Amino acid sequence: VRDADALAADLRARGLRVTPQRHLIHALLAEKPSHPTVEAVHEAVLAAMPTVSLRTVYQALHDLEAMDEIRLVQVGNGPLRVDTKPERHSHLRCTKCGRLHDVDVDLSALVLPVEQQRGFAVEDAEVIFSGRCPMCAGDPQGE
Amino acid sequence: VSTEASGDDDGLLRRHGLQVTAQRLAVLRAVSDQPHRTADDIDTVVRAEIGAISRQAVYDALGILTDKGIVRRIQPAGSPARYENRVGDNHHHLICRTCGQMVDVDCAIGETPCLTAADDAGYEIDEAEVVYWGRCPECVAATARSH
Repeated sequence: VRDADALAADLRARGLRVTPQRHLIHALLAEKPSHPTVEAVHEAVLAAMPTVSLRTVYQALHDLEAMDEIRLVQVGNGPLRVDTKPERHSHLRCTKCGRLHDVDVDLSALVLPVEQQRGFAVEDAEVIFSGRCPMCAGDPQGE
Repeated sequence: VSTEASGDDDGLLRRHGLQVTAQRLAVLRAVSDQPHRTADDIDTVVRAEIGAISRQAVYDALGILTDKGIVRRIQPAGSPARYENRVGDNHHHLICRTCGQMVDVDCAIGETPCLTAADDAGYEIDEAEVVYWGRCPECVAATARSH
């Protein structure tokens, strides 16, 4: 997530209006814990601007996604979440609560042998680790 | 073969403690006939086949088949989920970023999980899913032609 001036310039360059709502959403994403749900972003927006609709939040997020500022990701049937790191990277995901965390993986160990590439021009890779997060793993009602 | 396969599907559902319903069988068939379909594709195929079924019922059936491990959900970031019934091994996927075509690739290691994270943040990891991104031969050729 870049600074507010860079964002404003980019919005204008795309013919989008620079609104207080967009600024607030952008600022919230910079400080939010990783991968908030769209609903969580909306709640945080409401705390500062009580009349902003969920629809406006979605619209602002879709615009940010089109600007490659964020990515919207969905894990399983879970809610849509905001990923503030648009470049491809790997994740840990909790199969119980749906929480997502970024994780570093040594991708050099993942080079796909040529005979497996099926004629594709392979560019990069991501890994999704699934399991239980520490909170869910420690929960005896975890099933 | 298809009658036999359908009988197998009955048994498969029962072995996982699931009631055999026309909806679940149709959803399972849509997944096994053509792996890597999205939920929307499966919804279309199932509706064409058995008619009266809500989108929610298709999603519910996919959810329960996934929970039971009968089908596997593949969830690349920023791309809709796809489903497959090849669940017995730990294979991976290669996706064309241009047209979305997805193909299977074998896992060099084969065991689950085949990779470990540098810092697992306290997670108990069951599975490591690798998604390779690139461009398929057709899209590479199309780009070459347009230049």
